[in-house]
Amino acid sequence: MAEFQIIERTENTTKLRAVGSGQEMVIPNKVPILPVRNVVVFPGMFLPLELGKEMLDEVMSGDKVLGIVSQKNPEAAKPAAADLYSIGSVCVVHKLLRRREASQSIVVGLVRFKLLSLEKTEPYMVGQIELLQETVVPGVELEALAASVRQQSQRLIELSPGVPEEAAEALSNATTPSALADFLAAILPPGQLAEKQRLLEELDVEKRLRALSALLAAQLDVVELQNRINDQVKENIDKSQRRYYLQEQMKAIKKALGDGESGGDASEVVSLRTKLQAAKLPEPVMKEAERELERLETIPNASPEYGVIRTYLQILAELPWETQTIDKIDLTEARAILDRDHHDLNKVKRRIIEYLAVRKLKPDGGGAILCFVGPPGVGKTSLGKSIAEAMGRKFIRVALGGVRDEADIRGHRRTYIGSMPGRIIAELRKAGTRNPVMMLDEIDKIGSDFRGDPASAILEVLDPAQNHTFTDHYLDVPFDLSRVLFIATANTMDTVPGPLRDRMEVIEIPGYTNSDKLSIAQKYLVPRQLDANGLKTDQARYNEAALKWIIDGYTREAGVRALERAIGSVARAIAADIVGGKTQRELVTKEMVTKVLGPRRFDPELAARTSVPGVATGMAYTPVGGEILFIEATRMPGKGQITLTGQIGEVMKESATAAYSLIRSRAQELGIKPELLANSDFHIHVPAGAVPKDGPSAGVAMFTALASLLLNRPVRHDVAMTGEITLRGLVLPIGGLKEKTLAAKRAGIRQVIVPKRNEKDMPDIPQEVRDTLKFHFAENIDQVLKLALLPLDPKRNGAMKRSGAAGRGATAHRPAHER
Amino acid sequence: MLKGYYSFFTHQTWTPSVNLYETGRCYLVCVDLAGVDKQKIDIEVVGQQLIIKGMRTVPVAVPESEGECGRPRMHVMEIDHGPFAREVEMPQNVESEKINARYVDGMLWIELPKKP
Repeated sequence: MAEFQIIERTENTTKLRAVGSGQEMVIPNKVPILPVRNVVVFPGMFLPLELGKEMLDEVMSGDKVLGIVSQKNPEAAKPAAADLYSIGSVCVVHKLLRRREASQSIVVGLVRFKLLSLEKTEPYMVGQIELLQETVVPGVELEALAASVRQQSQRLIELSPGVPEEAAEALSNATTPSALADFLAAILPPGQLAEKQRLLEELDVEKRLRALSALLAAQLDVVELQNRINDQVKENIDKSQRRYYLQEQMKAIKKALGDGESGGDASEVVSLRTKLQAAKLPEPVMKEAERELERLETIPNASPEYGVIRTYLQILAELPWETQTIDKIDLTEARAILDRDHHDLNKVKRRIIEYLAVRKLKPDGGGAILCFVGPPGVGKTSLGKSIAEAMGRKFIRVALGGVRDEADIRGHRRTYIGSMPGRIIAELRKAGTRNPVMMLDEIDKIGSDFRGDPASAILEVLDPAQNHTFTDHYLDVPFDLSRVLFIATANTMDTVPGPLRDRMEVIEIPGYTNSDKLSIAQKYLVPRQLDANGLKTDQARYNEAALKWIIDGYTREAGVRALERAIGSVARAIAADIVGGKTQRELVTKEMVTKVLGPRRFDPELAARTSVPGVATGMAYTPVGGEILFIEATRMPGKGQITLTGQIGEVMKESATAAYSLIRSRAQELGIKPELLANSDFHIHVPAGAVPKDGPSAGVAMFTALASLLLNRPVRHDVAMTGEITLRGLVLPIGGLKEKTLAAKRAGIRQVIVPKRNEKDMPDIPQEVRDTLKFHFAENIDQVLKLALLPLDPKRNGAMKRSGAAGRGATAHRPAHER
Repeated sequence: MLKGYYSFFTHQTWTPSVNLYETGRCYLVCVDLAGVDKQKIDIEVVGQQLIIKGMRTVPVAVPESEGECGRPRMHVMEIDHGPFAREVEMPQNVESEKINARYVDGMLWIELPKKP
């Protein structure tokens, strides 16, 4: 840049000399004046302008010089002298270019001037000017200042984006401090016009530089801050962009995986949703499921909760919310099925047929809940199966024996680890229909402790008023159980809680008589066992005597399980023979049975036991069927104490005490010597000692035993008795008459003494029992004694007691001396 | 920083274009310098640098035909004028004493013998 010095002033011109090149110029003192807006022209600054035609002509035909001043107010359209700053730059036209019919001139500032006066304003301004001289004090200070400013500007150029390369080059070309100052002043960001004008008007170069230095510093700060912010923003953007990008990638990968086999979360959720929709959940359940599905979508795959929710939804989807089988009840076919699988049980079968008939007439009815009660092995479970088959429904069996935990029925809440739904729901899920036949087996064996009362849970399940909204703890949504057909089984109703017993209709399935067992064996058991052991019907034939032999000698039960097992053992022996080649076919006889099964285990003989006084035969009812019992009484010298043994329960002990008291109170009438009572201790024993017994129905037998002992009259060997005793001597009714009489018949008894009030139960007793046993109905113990005791045997008076068995026959021994 | 009203900032001096030739013996530099007073051209060699300086005034319009009066009006002024300067770098050292220059048809030819 040229720094000019004024070397000569004349009236009309001023002569300048460029400091560097020594070039001289002459500038007139009267020049066209051009006002400019929003810019201050500095010496050394190039500026494109569009000059008016007239001014352009004048300028170009002259020295190509004009003076440029800035307007104070950029808004003014036609400024007057007052609107203009008084100091501007004299400029020369460097180039004149023609662009599309418009001329553009490039002017370059030369030197500062002061506008003295405006001589003309139209068509363009002309003014009288005075060129101004800068003051420069060369020296170290100025140099240092210039260097520092140069440094600042270099830095600024570095930091500022978008600065053209020419800027750096031009900076290095500004060699003198004045040129440097003017260059910077020209190009620093458009600040206030007034500020730039001030810089223009500052003639002292040093001052100008200082001002510029301050401006530069400020500008540097701004730019540095801008850059810092930009960097930060960029970093943030980068970070979040990165994140976004990575997430998008992840989604794409997941999707790609999901298209393949199982794996992606999304696909699993989708498949679950489809399953759930296919399951046709009711409205509130679907809402709950939807909620869980949403949770599944958000939580990560690895979280343990994910597995919990997924299992839950799977279970929900697999429950039979709508699926059900259609009942096809044909009564004749039903009867045929029942007959096919079960022998006799006519009463039960009739009840079942009635049940089915009602179901057919009223398909939606709740219906009673049947409960089959009976000894093991009589076919309770298989009755349930037959019912299911007759109705065309699915059969499920839920074993309740030993269930103590309520959670077994109702399930655990999902919050527990390892929680599962309860049995009911779990079985329904397996069944796949909502109206199966559900058999609640061994409902009398439900325990109850601190973990809850499963029986109460069952109450809810069975109650038709409540079970259409059965809420399993695990599921947490109601499930409709009302279409399920519940059937219960039990061995005894004693341990079933009252409310539960109330809800069920009890159907007793009694044990079988021996002839029943024979028929069952012939019709069902033998064919089944032959088939199970791979034999054909012609390879093994059981004759009737052999079967009876097995029944009598090797089984002691109300049901037929042991019988079936025994038949099976024989069949297996035959199979071994056949495979071994020893024989082709076998006829099963008594001898063969003995050979295979070993010696007889049970002997039906009993009469011997009552051939001495002091023994009476009672009848007991156990969960495994009826049994006969022997009550033994004995006397020894003492003070009137009574001992009771034989593993008898509290109730039985009490009835023994009652019998004793009764004897003592009736001693007079019966003809027993009082001293005999007073000086004796008594002991009542009920063998077998290992088997627990309880119940009040042996009262009569105990009394009879004592009476027999004290009167020295044995009890008839073929008589068995049962009945509860009172202190008034009355005989109270008992239960389980059928089982007891069956047992009596099995044991070879011919007469039974039964409470009068049980006479009404007679129709329950099977015909063959009624035909073969003689029934006596007693109202009081006098009748019992009359029936049971043998007449006083004169030969027996003062008889010594002998220990039992004398073979069959009423009197085996005659004592040596007679009374 | 520079955004605004003026988008260029050139040197005060303009730069003529050059061609550089080489023969076995010397370098030849041709400078496009029409309309320059030969006297006003400075040529200097410093090491391997050839520096050419000078000044060109705006060409004066002199119409051929007679009878024109007044200064001609300028409509276009593109031709560079004012001081010029140019540096040319030689690939090898040259004999700075034995330079000679010819000004032919507006081109300045400078011959620089190579140093042996």
